[in-house]
Amino acid sequence: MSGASVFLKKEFREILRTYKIYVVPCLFLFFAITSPLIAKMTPALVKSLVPNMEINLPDPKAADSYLQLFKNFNQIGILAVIFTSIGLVADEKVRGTAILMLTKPIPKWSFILSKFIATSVLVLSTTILAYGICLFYTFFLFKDAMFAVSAQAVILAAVYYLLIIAVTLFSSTISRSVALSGACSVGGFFLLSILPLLHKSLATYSPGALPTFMDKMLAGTATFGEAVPALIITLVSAAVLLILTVQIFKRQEL
Amino acid sequence: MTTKTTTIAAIETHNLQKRFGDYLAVNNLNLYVPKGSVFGFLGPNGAGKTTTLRMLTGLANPTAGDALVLGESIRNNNRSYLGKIGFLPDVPGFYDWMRPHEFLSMSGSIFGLSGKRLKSRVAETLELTGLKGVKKRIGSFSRGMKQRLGLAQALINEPELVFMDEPTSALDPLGRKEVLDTISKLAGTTTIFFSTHILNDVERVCDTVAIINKGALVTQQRIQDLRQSYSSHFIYLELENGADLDLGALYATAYGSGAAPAPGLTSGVASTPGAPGLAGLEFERYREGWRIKPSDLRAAQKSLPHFIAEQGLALRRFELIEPSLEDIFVGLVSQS
Repeated sequence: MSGASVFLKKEFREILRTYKIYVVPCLFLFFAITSPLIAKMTPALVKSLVPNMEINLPDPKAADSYLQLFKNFNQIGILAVIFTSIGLVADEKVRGTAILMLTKPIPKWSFILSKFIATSVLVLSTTILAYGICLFYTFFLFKDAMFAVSAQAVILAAVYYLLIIAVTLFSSTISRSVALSGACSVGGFFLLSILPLLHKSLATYSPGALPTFMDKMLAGTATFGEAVPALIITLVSAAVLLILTVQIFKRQEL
Repeated sequence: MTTKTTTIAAIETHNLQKRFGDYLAVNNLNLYVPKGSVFGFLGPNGAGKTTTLRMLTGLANPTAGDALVLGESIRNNNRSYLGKIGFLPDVPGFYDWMRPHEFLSMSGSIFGLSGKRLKSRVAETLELTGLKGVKKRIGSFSRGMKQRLGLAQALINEPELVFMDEPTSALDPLGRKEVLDTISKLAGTTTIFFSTHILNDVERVCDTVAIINKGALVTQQRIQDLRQSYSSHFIYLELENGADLDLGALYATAYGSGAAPAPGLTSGVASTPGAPGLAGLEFERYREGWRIKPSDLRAAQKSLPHFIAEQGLALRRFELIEPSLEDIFVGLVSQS
């Protein structure tokens, strides 16, 4: 086995042997189970809270279940991904493990790519598993799964999360401490989120438009095709950021 | 003075330089580390030892100059020699969730070991470093245990060259002895580049030493050559009944009549011609008596007892002291 593949294996083992295997999966699975339930019960809950008032709420639909799911994924879920990934490189530099690893025949590019691949596999597999549970649960509660649209929304989410992981990895690489890495990562996420609000074209083509497209597709006001430009830009941004991270890390001294 | 032999070099540095802004951490360093040697790399704190090690192990790039590690240049981010070296940093960092045999197994795999060979190397290095049978997670290790595991991982690939940065500083006396014994066993087959400030360790295991100060090489020699080069012996003398030397008389004898030391003087140099054997001597208070460095040892061996007897004093101790590596080190660093 080459140094690169040994290090990739170590990254997967680290996920399985540390808190990382619990935080993101548990949170995402929790959202998968509760989102359909919340969507189904919200009208009844609201009515029960104000029994003497006539409130006309639309009947809950399958789309509400997914809207609830992606709202949770795209806010708390992403923050959980960030906080479990901020130490990917910064922590290895601070603790001195990077020194022991990089004075062995491990290419520097593989040090970064291994972390990206392992974290992406964790986040994407968790997202798909959570989506599968939500799909099943939504069909059980609403007798309608909206499979095609919800699956397309999951594709947008997955690509968006790849960019979030790339942003976090970049922040962790340029930072001298885990705290600074966290601040840079959250700042990056915030920037991605507000970009669509700054200009009409950014609302259509910037990576931060993807969560809005997910909502619109589920509400039936946008199609997957309309989201494709933003999807491609997000993928390209993630790839460029990853290449930049590798180049910066190659020049860094430990 | 630098001694360069014709043996094959494990490491050669040529005007190696590292600059951080205006600060020159390593200044035109020229080292020659013979293959198979245990090479002590000495220097006070901030001398540039760790910076040099970082450049030689591929962790930092030189600002100027070059170094050949096992015949390969370290410039242009060349990392191709890393498969043939081992490195033990001063504070080795490990993955807390791993167990020692897992870390060693991973380290060996990175070097391309597999199957029975990997298993046997893991077992050998655990045995060598006294960690055989230790199953607990590395996160619960003491600093000394981590240092020993650090040594084990540095040796897992049977490297041709091992870099060690202060390898014994965190160890108890027994652990320190074990590490030094391990280094002694490797001598001759593996080149050890051993950065330290513990001079006893250098005296015990190293055959060649380089001393650097303020980033520049002060000297590089075989230890026995270094001792010979700086073999200016001292005389240590103590007087009976706690009596003290009559400095006035000593000065007068050394300088000639009329000379007197400054009040409260406890050390000095008599640099002008005086009595034979006492001219040019250096003296200072040392322990219960005086440490005297004569310019002419043989003459002083005769003159000093005579001088003391003339003062009506009796000698309790009169001994020749060979300079320790510490004396040489302090002397050289002070001069530089």
